[in-house]
Amino acid sequence: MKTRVIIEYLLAAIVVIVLGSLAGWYFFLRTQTETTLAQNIARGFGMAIPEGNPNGSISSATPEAQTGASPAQPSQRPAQLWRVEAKPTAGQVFTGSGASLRVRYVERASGYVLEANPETGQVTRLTNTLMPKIYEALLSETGHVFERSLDTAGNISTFVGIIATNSDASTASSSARALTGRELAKNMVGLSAHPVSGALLYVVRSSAGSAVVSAEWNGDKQKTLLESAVVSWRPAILEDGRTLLVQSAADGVPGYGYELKKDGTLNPLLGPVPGLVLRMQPGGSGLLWSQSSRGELRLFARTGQDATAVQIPVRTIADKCAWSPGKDFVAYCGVPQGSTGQNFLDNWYRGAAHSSDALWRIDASAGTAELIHTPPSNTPIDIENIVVDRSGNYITFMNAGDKSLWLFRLGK
Amino acid sequence: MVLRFQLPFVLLVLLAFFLFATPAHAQYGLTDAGNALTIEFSPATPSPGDTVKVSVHSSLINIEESDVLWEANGKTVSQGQGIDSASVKAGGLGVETRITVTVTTPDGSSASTEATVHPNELDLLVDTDSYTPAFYRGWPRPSAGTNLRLQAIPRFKRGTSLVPASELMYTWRHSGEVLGSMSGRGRSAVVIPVRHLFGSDVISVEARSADNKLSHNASISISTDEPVLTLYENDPLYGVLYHRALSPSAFIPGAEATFAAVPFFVQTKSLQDSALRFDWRVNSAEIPANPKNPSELTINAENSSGIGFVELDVTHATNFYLNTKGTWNITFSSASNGGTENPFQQPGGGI
Repeated sequence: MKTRVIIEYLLAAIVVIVLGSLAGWYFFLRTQTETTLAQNIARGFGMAIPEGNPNGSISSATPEAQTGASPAQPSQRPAQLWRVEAKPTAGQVFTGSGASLRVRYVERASGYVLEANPETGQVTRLTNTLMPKIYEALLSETGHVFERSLDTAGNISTFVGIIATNSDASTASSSARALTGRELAKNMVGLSAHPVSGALLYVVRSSAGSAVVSAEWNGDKQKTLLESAVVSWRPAILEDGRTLLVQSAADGVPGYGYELKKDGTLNPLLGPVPGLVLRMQPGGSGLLWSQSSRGELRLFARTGQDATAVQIPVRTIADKCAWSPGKDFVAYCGVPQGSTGQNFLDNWYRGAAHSSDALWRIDASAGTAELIHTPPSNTPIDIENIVVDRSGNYITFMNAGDKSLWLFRLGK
Repeated sequence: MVLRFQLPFVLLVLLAFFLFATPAHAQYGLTDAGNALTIEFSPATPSPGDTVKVSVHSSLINIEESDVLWEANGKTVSQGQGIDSASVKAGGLGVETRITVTVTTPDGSSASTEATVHPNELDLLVDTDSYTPAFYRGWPRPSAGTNLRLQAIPRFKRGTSLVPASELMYTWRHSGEVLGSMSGRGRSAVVIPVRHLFGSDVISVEARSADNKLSHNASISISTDEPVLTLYENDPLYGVLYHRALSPSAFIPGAEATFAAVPFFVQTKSLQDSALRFDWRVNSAEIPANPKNPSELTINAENSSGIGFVELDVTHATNFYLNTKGTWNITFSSASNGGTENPFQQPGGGI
């Protein structure tokens, strides 16, 4: 009897010790796990890589909520202002429409083409052909990619490739492919590509000064449209087929803008205007332009050839503006907040001055401007290379300060 | 007796001729040397839509005391005593407006003349061959030793067709002086060297049709600027970060970086031009320029204080006006405080 009691007490003690040990182990481990988890989160563990998986298949980007909200989860709708790519980019375009709308862009370091889904925040790498140090990229909606870089001798090289147009970023089975194509003529000092067909309009140096040449997207069927003493042209092909030539701008220097006809004649649009930067409405008669004189920026618009020009009550460079598709005379502009300082236009082009912009909606027919969005004060964005999608629901642009890529949703 | 009557008659006829016949010649147009009336336009060569001030002058008729009638394409524009000018809106490109002015003196005699406003356009575009880096979107400013490249773009319309630019006569002027060797038929573009450090060049051009009926002029004043020396980081991944010029006090993450100097607007086509000279100094120590890439400098701040005072002087072998300088105080974030004597190293001959 006595022995039995002793055994019972011993067993009870063992049970208490085991339970106590288990409880202690549980609480200790839980604390350690929480600490490790906190550290991992702080180190970014679990955050998706924006450019996708190494094999090119889909990965989910982190749609950073730049307005201060906590980061959204993968496949969640990104914040209204979304930094699509933090690393430097070289150019972007909208492809598709509706649910298949994507922002297609080129990474500056690698030349890889990627696509971002504005609704899910997922980013897919489309190509795996390494093209390092891409300073400028042009893309068409139908898959043409023009990547521009510098060779060792300092010459401008332009590579053109084409990627399939039916890539669907929502299917996990897609994988990155090679970007095949060819090199175009060296030293195209200015280049524009048609947003759909990829047809080219470019400027090369010639004995007379410069030659303005049109060609198919692959460089075939070249035709010299104009020869002139002026080299500093900025060419542009609009979706409706019209081609523009505008002189490069500098503060206080009178500039001219023309529509270049197929027979090589120059149809004047504007000029002389000091520091002229011009944006013509695709498919319409609207014209938006900025002037810079003695460091002062002004923005103007007109709705037709014979319409009276109106000054828009914001001060910006038309390089920060894009027309919204459609017949309405609506454009969106990044407008520097506060004073831009002396000689801003030239300094901005040199990368020596940057602005912190707010996004404005311009109604050219009414001559009015409406503030759409002001980024948080800790997120200065110097808007450039701005594009509006066909539906008018999204705007994408680059931050000239670091070449990061951004997307803004016009609806909430 | 007959002679006595004939002499006063002849005198009267002569008097009548001088008083009335001379003004009547004005009706034959402006090119007639015997005009009593002349018309001037301001601007002298109107553009489409311009408001043109037309004024009438005469050395024979006192216009102030006369009644003046101004008509444009047969419609009265202005009328009244002593009205020696009127404003007329020019039509579209090539659309003629016929101006007629009729002056009636107090004694009832009258004279008239007419002229035609023929609006044309002439754009004068200027460019330069000064240096800017690839992908630069701005206009290259002229500096001493560079060239101005000017292009005249005329739009002269006769009837419904434009007169080809190659068929016009161009007269170029530099600060008022005719550039004879650069002027002539079809010479719509010129290259003019910039020979001075400061100030401005006024260049004008007049384009004229072979029959002298169509003409227009344009001018432009171009200031000479000094080159702007800018320093960028040349990133091994991204290339030269042209979008981010280094400020006089710059912070560089890491312990090593390559810097690319860009002397905007200097006289050269390439930074590898052997006539360009790059004199680098880091913390007062001279750094021999890399012969292959003299505009670039690599600094390794490993085991140093991490602060480098970079000085650069860019000159030209033959253009003694070209001398642009820059200084930058660069702090490297990852340099440990080893404190070597000469911490900054230039691969291929640097310290």
